[in-house]
Amino acid sequence: MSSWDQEDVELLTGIARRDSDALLRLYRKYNGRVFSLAYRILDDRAAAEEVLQDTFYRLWDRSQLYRPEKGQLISWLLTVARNLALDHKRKESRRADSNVFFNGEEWSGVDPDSLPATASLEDPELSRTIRKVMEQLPAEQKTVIELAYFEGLTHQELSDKLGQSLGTVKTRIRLGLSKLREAMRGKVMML
Amino acid sequence: MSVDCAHVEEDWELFALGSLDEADQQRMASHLQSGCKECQRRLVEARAVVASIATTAPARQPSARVELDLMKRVRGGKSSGPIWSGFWPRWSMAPWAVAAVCLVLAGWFFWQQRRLGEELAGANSVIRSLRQAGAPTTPVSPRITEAPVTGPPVSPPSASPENARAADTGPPENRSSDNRRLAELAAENEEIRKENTALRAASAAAEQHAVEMQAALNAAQARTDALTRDLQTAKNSGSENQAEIAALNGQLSKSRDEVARLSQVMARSAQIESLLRSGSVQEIELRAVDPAAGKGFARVLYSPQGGLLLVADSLPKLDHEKCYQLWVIRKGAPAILSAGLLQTSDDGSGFLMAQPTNDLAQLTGLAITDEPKGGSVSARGHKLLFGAR
Repeated sequence: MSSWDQEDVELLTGIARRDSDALLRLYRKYNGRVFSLAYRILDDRAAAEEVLQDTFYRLWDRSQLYRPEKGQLISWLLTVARNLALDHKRKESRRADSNVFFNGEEWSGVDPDSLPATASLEDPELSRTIRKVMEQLPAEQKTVIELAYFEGLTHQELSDKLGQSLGTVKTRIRLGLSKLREAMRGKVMML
Repeated sequence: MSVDCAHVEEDWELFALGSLDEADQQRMASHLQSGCKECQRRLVEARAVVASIATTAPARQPSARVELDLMKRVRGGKSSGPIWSGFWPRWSMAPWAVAAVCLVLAGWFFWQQRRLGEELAGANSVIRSLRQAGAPTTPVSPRITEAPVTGPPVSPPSASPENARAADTGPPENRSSDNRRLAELAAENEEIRKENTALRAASAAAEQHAVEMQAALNAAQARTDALTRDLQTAKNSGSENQAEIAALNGQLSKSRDEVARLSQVMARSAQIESLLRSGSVQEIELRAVDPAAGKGFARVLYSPQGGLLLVADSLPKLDHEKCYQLWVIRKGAPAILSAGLLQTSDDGSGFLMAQPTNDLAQLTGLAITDEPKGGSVSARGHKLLFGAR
């Protein structure tokens, strides 16, 4: 499977033409995944629904900043939703331009054929595999990854919070992510 | 951290995670802007790895109101209009949900039409052969797909002058046999017409069921929200009544399960509907190619735009440690892709739905294998059923 979905690209083209039905179809395709993430971060239905709406509105308003060659649309939406949710949680952005998808950077001259294939996050089997890998991670690796991803903590903040050295925190995150990466690569061979 | 192409995958994963300190994050972003293709490639993969963490969040569904609000916002605060136009012309006020029963019936209706169409073709073939033999014939109209339900049934050979003249041709024993066959065809036609009427009635009932299921989902959602509020209130008030909190937690858990179940049913229904409406739907029949498959068979409907739907029957029960897995065989590499695990029942039926993917455009065949529980990354089990385009 290629790293981008042709249907998504076509719907994004529709959004660029201000076709609200195209946005609606993308919303229906991905709203569950985005909402689940926002809810996991915020633990508040109303706030998570606000983040969900803002995420897709941003897609509508600034779709030109998304490039298929940068990765799957769902990865992009999840990144946006995560940043919005974390910002909402903190009431202020810790890193205003942390969203690398929306900071306006240009990736000229990228050859899509040279990009790696990535398994689709919409594949339920992949979701099961990722959950299984996460469950099987040593508790200390799982904790730092969840705190970094769902709480948005930096290495330094994790070090302070957990009372571990910076090096230990980095090593544990790297080890955990490497197992997720291997799981993703395994799925590329499947679908 | 130095910024050069010595970056390893882990660096880009930390970058995508956003856990680096700001200085490192900025340095790596600047490096990306220099146009380093290798690092761009690594970042694409790193983003997918990091985003995969989101899939560990428990599945939840937003309320239908979010969609309405989003569309209203997008359309400039004007009336949100018929959001469902083009999808649900008759259910303009219905939300995204369509009850599973309705869609399964839609699928059933689709198959019935196809089956009856095949019967019709067979009947017309018989009639053509009778005509060639000089027997009186009444063409069987394509009742299901073209003729109205209330259309006149096909009559047995009548005593019209034309038929009478035609009936005079050929040996008497042939005429008698042909007349019996035509009478059978007419009776069969009447049965099919009644069946079609019943199907339409079932479809209308399913539509009503869909509305009821949506109401059930809304009620379950409201119940969950209310329980969540009650629980929070109990916690906030420092209630020492642990039993009350435990009871609320229990109810909340059940309510959430119900919401998840209904949401899953409706999501599946929407996918079936999407497949049936996607056009250019292809069909493949899978037959047993190994004695271990017994009398198992399966039918698959698929389209690159609508996804894949498999319904299987008479599958032998597998060992507890095994499961059925469907594989897509296609042109290109990799040539064999997993399409997922079948959900099976004790009665031998099986079901699988897969999301739309362009890989289906290159499909040349499908195979079902038995694999270790949880499925395999690549097909290793016995090829039990197979079908080709």
